[in-house]
Amino acid sequence: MKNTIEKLILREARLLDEQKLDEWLQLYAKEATYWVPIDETVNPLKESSIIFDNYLRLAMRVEQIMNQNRVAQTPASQMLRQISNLEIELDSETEATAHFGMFLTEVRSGDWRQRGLGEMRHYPARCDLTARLIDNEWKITAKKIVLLNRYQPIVGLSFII
Amino acid sequence: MTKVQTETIKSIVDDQAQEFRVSTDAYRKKEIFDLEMERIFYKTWIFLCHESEIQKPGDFKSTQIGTQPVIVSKSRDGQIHAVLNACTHRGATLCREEKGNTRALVCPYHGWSFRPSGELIGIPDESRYPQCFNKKEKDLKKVPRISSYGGLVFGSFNPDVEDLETFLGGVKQHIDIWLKRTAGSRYQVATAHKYGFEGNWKFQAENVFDGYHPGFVHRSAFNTVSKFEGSFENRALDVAVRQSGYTRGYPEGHGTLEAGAPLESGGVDPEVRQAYNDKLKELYGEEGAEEVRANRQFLIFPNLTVFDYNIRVIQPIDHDRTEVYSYPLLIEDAHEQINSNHMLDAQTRVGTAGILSADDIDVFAGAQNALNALSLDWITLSRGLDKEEIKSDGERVGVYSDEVPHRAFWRKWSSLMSTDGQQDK
Repeated sequence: MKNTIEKLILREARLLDEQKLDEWLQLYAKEATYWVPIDETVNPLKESSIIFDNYLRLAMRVEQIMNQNRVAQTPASQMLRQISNLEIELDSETEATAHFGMFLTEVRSGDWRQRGLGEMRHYPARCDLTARLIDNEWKITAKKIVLLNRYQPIVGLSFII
Repeated sequence: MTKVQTETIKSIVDDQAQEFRVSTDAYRKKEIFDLEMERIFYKTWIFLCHESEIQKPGDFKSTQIGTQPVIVSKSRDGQIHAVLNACTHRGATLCREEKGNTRALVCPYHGWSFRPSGELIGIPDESRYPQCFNKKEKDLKKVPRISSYGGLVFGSFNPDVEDLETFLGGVKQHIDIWLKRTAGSRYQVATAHKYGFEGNWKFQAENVFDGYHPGFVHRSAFNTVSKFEGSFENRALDVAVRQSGYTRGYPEGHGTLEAGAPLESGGVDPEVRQAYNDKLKELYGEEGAEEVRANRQFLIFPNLTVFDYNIRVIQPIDHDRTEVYSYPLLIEDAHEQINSNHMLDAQTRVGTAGILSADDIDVFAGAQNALNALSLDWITLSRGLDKEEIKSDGERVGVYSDEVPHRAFWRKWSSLMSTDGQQDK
């Protein structure tokens, strides 16, 4: 079963890399949370985060990027998420928790010589993911991405990290 | 680096009846940036922090006035101080943290210690210094003027700067209305969102009160919001250019953008929202409450923006590099749902990964690129030029998409930049 969870994590990474965001959103349970903290010890309903989305807000991001020609994703980002340091715990038959490292490299090319384009940006992060077996399918109920550079300014987070 | 001539500075803003133009040198030349530091950032009032960032004695925050590193703190007697983050011994940086609480700043180099308010308290192995060594001159360099209004703390390197309320002038009434939204309580800032862009700081300053761009730059966000019922109930834009609302520009350089529509987003129970609206009515009357609830956002010259529920500091780093620190605002006594809603709203819209902000900064980077074009010497800020309502106190009013506040900004900019080595009174 650990293999199943690992496959889920890798599949999520590939769908995000390929910007197949409709399919990606299907991996998430309706009650899911997507959290990219600034301070990972706070309550994200009471203190700022880079992202704290419920399913609705995630769906809005998907819509804005996939169907609405978002300025900041024209041209779109090219991305590769490298997943490592994978630890999976099976909490029960139907629940699992995973901790892993993610190294995302992102670049918008287009006319790469222009300012704001061409630069390869790196996003190393420690991730936590909780998944539950719902109607025979493993769905993500919580994802947390703790970026190494979360305390300082980040440029260009117009894609789904 | 060539020294910029005064005639060159005076020719940057071209203020004529038929067209208002600004030279692109203002955005693309490093020499102009350096002069902005000298004649604007070190001569006028610059935002240091919100009062809620330094609440307890010993609280401090590292910030910058222009490109100068400054530590602002609250001392035991409740006073606010700001000092340069530089040891008077050999110029080491005293503090490497973003914020914290301390009784003394101890230099990591040779252990000299200072109160955060600046006084030198200790020199290790002091006996090796000569008898006549003047310790009193070795206090940390202070920011000579500190003043607050409405919880916004400002500092100035200019000891003779006009007092803060004179500086605020016409924007004071807007700050007052913004304060009234706390319904008798006080604001508390949440942790800042921080983002950056590869462009001149003035792109972001001008963007705050720019009512012409949202229908284009933010088209994707508005279309998205319309498709998700109950997500954001306010001000989604169907037309290309909003036709209702106002812009204002003040002689002090500040400017506003007012949508004239009530602000609020989804996610708050109707009873909670009603209770808040009732409180506003109780405090300010029916009309007053309506005025308080109507959206306005404004720039306090040169680089502080006040939105409905967040404030943004536009931090110049270099002529083509800027950082923005965007603080969501919580209200001390407000219902938890209201605060959570305001915070998540600011986060989703104008945070680091915001559905609005990320698109603006891509445009700014593109502008920094394009403005280097050989023959692109001027930009034009002429919307509403011959249709302004000009009031007796100098306030100018236009419609939402007019460039009234841009012109106010540039007139003030030009006035300060043309002042050669004299104090701005």
